[in-house]
Amino acid sequence: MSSSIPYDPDEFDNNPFAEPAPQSQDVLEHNPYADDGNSRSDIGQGEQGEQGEEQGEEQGEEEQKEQQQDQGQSQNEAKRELLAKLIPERFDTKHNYKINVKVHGIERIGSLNNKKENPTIIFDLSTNLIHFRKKSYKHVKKTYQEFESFFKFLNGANPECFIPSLPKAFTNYGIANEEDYKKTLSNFQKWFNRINSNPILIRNEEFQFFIESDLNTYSPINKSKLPASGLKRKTLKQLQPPYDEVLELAEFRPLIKSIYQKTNLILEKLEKLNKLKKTQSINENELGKKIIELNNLENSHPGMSNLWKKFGKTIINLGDLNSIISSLELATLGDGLEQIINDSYTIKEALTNRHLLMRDLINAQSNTQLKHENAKKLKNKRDINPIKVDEAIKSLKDATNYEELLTLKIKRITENMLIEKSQFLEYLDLLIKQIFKEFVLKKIEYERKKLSTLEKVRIDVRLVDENGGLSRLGRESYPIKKSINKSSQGPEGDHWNGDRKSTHFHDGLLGNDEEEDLEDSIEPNNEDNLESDEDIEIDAKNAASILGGSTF
Amino acid sequence: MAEDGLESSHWDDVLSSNPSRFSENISSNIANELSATLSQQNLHDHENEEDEDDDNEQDEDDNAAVEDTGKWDDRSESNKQTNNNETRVETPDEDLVSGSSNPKESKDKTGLISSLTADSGKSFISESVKSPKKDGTLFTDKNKGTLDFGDDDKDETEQSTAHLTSPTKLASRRKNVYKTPRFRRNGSKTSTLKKEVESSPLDTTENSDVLGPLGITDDTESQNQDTESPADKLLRASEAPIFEINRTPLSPLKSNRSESQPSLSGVSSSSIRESSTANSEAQSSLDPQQQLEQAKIQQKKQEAEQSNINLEIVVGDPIKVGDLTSAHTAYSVRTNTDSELLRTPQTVVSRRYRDFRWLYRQLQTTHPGRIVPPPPEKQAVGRFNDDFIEARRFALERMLVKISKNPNLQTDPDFIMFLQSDRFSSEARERERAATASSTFTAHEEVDASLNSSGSGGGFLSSIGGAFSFAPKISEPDEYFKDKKSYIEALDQQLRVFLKNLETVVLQRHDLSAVTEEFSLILGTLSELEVSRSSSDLFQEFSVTQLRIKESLDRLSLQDMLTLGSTLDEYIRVVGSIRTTFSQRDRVLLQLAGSESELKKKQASFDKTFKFNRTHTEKIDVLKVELNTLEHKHNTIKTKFDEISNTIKDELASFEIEKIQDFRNSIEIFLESTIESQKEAVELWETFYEVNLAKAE
Repeated sequence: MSSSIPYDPDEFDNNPFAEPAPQSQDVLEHNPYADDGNSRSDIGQGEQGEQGEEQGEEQGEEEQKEQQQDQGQSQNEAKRELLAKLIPERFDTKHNYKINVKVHGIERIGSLNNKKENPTIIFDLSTNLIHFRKKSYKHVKKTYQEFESFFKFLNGANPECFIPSLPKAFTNYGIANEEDYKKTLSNFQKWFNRINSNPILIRNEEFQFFIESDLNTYSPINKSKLPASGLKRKTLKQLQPPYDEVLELAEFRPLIKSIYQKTNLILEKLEKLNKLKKTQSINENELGKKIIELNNLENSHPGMSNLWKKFGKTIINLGDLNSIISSLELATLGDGLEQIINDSYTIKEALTNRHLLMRDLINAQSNTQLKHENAKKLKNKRDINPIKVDEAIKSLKDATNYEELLTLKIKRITENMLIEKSQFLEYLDLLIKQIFKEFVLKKIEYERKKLSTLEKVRIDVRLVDENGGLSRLGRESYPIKKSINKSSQGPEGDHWNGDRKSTHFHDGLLGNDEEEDLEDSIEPNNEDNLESDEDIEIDAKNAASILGGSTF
Repeated sequence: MAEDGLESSHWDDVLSSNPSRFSENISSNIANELSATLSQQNLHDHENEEDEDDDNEQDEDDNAAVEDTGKWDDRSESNKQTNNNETRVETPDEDLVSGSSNPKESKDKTGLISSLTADSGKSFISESVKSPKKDGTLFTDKNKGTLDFGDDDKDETEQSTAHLTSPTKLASRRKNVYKTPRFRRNGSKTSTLKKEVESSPLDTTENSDVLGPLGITDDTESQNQDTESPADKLLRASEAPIFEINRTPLSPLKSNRSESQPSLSGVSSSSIRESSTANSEAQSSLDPQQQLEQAKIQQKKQEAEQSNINLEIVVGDPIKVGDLTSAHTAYSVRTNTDSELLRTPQTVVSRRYRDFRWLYRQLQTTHPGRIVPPPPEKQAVGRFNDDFIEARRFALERMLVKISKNPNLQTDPDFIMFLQSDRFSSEARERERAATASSTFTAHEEVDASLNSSGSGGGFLSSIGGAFSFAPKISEPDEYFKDKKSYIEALDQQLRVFLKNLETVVLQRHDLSAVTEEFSLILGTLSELEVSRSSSDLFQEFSVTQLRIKESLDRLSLQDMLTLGSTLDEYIRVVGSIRTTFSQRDRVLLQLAGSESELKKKQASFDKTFKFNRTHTEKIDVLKVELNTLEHKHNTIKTKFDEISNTIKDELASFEIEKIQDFRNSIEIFLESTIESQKEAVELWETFYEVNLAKAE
């Protein structure tokens, strides 16, 4: 903590390395390794700092290596100690404070807009934190708007944390859908879990106020403020970010930013894709209707007119399924991406806040420097005005204190962010997998539905006449019904793929309305034929094993 | 491919056992073939006064000329050399060597061979050598990588011998077909086997050929088949949903040529019969008129069965010919037949789109009342677009095949002339004149003229519409035609709406595939961020999957347009043809009405004269003669009218059958290809899940 070295003006003259002090101090301060390398609050640090930025960093790194080799454990302990000092919440083994929340319901009441935008979340809460009045709270009701203001407060009050972004108030399933209820509920549960896993956040007394306030009455009691907001923030963001010694965080912001941007782009494209799919499904419906109309002209051939009807219906069904699929895509992938977008946005802004604070620190450092110069000037003067000297010393102290404060704050932020960064990346990884899993499973389910819909109409196409269509070429003696009336997918695997045993096949897929469909379709009248051939079971899989190797 | 190995070794055997016979066979056969091509090629050149500035060809010309001057006098030697060359090229190993060392050289050699085998002393370009090159310029072959020279050569040599046996030709065609990598279990073995089976009818037609030496190759071919047949049967029985076309979904351009033709024509005769019996059973309770229709339909089928003139027609090798102003696409029309109608069993001629239109009009004029299979519509813009050319080629082929299947049209001298004439344009003009002169349907000339001029105007349908508009109202004597007319109108309307909707869907699918691609690209960029290894892999895979889906969408659109789309398009045009027959009939009806009123007038005046001027026997006699001639004329028109009415009824009956056949088939193909692509989609997602997410549990 070089900055915490008390600046004695008397000593300063004697220190030839004092000139670049603010910068070198900065270097050392923000490089945790450099800090670890040196025994803290030692004058020797100043000597380290004299080398200027680059060398200082190099040394820091070298030292880190050395430290790993030589001192290993003791250094780790030192680091731990430092961290414990910086972020006591994370190293508080004594109390083991925690909050448990179980979300059990969502109410959507009031106007349509309110239903959609402002649901009420109902949850139970239990805690061992002392500032809560009760150990457990049952049936706490909070509206989405309250959540929003709580989130806003947390975001401002905890610059060292990546606050998990609030889940959306509704999903793309549509609020009337049961899937939506489940999904929103589990989203809030996940959000609480993430908040509660953060020891810094649960210790915030605002949490208590949030919980203990009545429904719809909560507004942040403490004030939380971002380092800069509005136009100022925008302008500051345009500037080159201040030099950041913590490479990890320096690289993290652009990464998060591009995640944010790319995910946004993806979402945009996904929405475009789904818009197209929606119109496509409408067109398919239209096409299906037109096909059905064709049967009016097919007076002489009942098989053909049946074909037109059934085929048209199938096309309409396909269109409907496509429309469902596109909604599902939005609900699974789209909502998931949006969550990533929101999270990465919050993190990006948190990192920006850190940059802003770092800028403040630089200002404070130069301010201290200025005060220093003033004091020096005064000292060199012959006639010393004691009042002036006192003033100068006082302002120098103030400035130094402020600088110290900021330095500490930034150190805390840096350390905590490093921890939360890795946590977030892990979470993101998991989240992406989860999103894709959900998406792919739904997709498979409906693509399979499409397939079975298509295969159901096969029989109508082939049985236009008893010949059985093109597919019968060369196999006229093979029982017709057997070859047609078979779905290529089943619980034991797909016919076209022998390798995979476990598929995402749902039992309800084939059974539902097949029977009535079959009754409608014209039956071939070679039942006798069928029975005699019943025992010879030849399908593609069998044949492959019968044939074995090559045939020539 | 296993088949190649089989083929080449088989060739080796043949060559080593009796090389001299074989070479003779080649020379004579190729000569026949080539002389035909040459002459028509020459004709073509004269006609259009165009210069083929293809360097390769000139090279070949030069080579051939040099060879000719050097070795022309010794024919036996040249034959021997041909033989040597053939064996050398056919042996796969050597072929590979020569191919890898200098592909160009071997290309030239094939040209040299064919030029050497020529009987006539002239130097010319053989069709067999030329076509693949031309193909290459028009359709960029995907297989043609820089490293694939060996393969290409093989193709070419196979093509050069393609005239001998059609199976080889088919096989070589298919080799060009691009196969998508898919997780199918049926290997290429089965498909090649199937091809062998499919092509067998061609062999039998050739067996009865006059050319003795050909028998050798055919025999071995059929032996081959015999040995394969048990396995074949088993395979056929075992593969439950066999669907040929789906196996090469990306390449309908090429595959349709070989697949759709045999399959469509193959079913027709047998399935027509069965469907009719089914119909008559199902509809025995229908009203008499429909029963009459049914009977007619049945009769139609028997006719269709009786007509067994076997014409295998392939329209292929679209080549862009001519300079900027006279540019057009020439198609080669290959005909294989066992009938006596054509001079040679194998004929290759070059025709352009205009010629097909001529044939259509000519057949319409000479066969009033018949529904002539129509050529595709004219198109002014984008005539040299690959997709368009392929669609047109396919439609032209369909037209010729349909004509050849029609018992009334297949023997038509104009059609035969079209298939084999070397000096087509002059003959066409003569025939046209002759047809105009002999045609008693003078009234039709207007229609035909308007059809002729429709090239400059807006399509022939509009001209028909015009013909309709100025036709005076005549009371339709036959209820049947009234019904049919409204039926055809409604059908036309619905088919058009159907096609339009289908096109919208396909167009939209194109958009969808474009956006999917964008989507996939953006996903790719996210994966490049390398947030973490697993998630970046996930995004990468997801992007690849999306790309695959895009490809599958593209394939599906292409399939849809080629199957259902082309059938719809064809039937819209056929409906146009039907309307033409109606208008032809209307004109005769008009004539009939005119002559009837004239006759009545004459009768009245005759009666009057007979009543009041009994003394003017001379006048009465004159009037009587006039009356008789009028009556005679009236009768001829009447019979003509009945004839045309009956023809149309006939044709409509067979139209119904064909319509059901064609639509059922194309819908089945449509359905099966959609099912296949759906399976692919399921498979893609399942694989994605398996690879990326199953472990996550």
